[in-house]
Amino acid sequence: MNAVYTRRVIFTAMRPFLEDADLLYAMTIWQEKYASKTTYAFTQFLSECCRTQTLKRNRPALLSAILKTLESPEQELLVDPLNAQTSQFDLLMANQTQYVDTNVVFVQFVENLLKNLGDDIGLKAKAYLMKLVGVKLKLNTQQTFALKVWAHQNTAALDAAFDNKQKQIMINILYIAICEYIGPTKADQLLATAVRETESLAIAHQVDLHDYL
Amino acid sequence: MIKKQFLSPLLLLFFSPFVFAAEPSNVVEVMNTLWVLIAACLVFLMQAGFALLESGLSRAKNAVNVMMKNYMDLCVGSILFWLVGYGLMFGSNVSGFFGTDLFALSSMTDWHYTTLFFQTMFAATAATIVSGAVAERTNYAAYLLGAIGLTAFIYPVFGSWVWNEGGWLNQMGFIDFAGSTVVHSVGGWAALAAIMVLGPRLGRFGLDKKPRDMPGHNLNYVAIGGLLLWFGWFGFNGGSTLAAGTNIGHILLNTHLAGAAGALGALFVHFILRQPALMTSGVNGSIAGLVAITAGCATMEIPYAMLTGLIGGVISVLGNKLIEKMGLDDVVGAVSVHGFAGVWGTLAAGLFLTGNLFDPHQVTVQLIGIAAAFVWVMMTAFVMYWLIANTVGMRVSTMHEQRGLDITEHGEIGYPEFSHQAAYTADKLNNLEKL
Repeated sequence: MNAVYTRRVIFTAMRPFLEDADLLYAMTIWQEKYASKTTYAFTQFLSECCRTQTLKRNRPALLSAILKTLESPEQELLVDPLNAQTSQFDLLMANQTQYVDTNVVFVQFVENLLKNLGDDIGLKAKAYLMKLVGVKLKLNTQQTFALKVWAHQNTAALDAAFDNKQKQIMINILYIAICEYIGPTKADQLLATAVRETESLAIAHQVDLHDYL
Repeated sequence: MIKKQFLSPLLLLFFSPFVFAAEPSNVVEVMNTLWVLIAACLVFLMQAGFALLESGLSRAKNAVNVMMKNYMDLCVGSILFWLVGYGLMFGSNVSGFFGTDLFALSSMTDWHYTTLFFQTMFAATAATIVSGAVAERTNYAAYLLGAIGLTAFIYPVFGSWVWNEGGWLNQMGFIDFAGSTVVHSVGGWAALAAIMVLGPRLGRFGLDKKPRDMPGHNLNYVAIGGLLLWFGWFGFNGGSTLAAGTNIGHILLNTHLAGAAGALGALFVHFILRQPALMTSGVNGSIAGLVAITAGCATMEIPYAMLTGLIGGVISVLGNKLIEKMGLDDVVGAVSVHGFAGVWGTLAAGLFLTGNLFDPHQVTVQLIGIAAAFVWVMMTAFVMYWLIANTVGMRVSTMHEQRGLDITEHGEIGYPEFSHQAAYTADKLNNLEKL
């Protein structure tokens, strides 16, 4: 049973019980701590993600739903929440837009930085970021999930609050990645180009781009 | 008419009663002093040569940092060499391994001051060789600590083995007239130890481990720096006579021709490899030729001096390729130019010794000296840089590398009016968060 299938099972089973925010939180925890485990630890997972009294009361029902869904045919499962084509994800994200505005300059800057790399290296750079971001930054689960979603979905939204220091470190990781993949001379040029291209947007949003640099 | 106008004051100066007022024996002393001091000033000029060469070979965002390293290693090195280094190098050397007096020299003879001034310039040269190799990624304070260790301990202790009359290599008859090994190999090996501890700059090697070109920001600086170094070398080698003798012409001619042959040797390698004639290789080749002839410039006939320089130039290119193959990042090629070419020059001084060509005994002594320098410097410098790395921190953070060390270490930009195309412009400097 692969990771995508299991994620779809969890998502399908929990969807009727959880609000959007709780579901997003639960999926983040699953992805962060449980997805890579060789044996399932559903009870432990549920005790961690059911934060409210109502959810705690519903834990047996949730466990039963997950186990039942595990035996369901694949075509009955909801689409993968990390899949770019899914409308389920958009639905979740649509309700979680409180941070998008503050991140728009940052996301645009990163997109400008990566766009001249070509798709292949751009994706590699994002993967490099995802690999190192946990090492260099202490992120909470929502930040991690939002970053993963952003990296995999190619969406303009980054739905979590990040402070400038965190954004600075993330850009630095991308800079390192570009240095590694295409060389430091080109990396410096791309960084300068991205600054110029994003400057007007930053001014419009009253953001000092150099806070991220 | 115009010539006469200029000549008259000169004639007045040289034939003034003050000059002839000195006793005949004193005139020799004055001439010797004058020559050694002029030579020392020429060696001082080599600092400017190193600064330009190394800065030119670095990216624009690190240009100030490289200049500052060259500037300040001279300052701290000079004081430390006066305080400790000179005594270790030229003090009474009973053990054969280090001097025990002449520390913080004061109230001594004029000649002591003259030699101290001259030798201080040599010590500063040895220290500054490292700065180019470690450019663009080194913590400034850590670099200066390394320069202190080098000028106060590593360089003078080895120097005492060779240039102190009681030194054990001196007693064996080791020939290193002006310091192919004592100054240049010592600097080169210290640079090698430093880059081994430091690691390469971000992205210097691709994921396939192949080296990437990281062109310097100003090749004109490289050429001018090379020429200044060459000019300074006339003081470096010529002044090492420590006397205004008639052999200086021979020494300077050997020096000059070896430098010229070195540049040709380096370009010859590129020609053989069907590569373009790179200016940086030409400049480095000439410096390698100069490094190589430094040991034997007073004891070699002119054809051998040219051969020594030519091979030095070849070594500078091939040595650099070897360093890259080893996955080491030497920004200016210091290990190859000063370390490897210094080894060859020291060996050549034994091989091509006038009146005693290809003497196996002399060659053996030279090899012992070369090996001693390598073992001593690599051992001590590696420990020193390792300790610095694990205390002060040798390497700057990746954020520093991204911004460039001009901003992060000095809060300045080398070319504020020409940085509109850069990510960090002068007008944003004050807004940047302190790292």
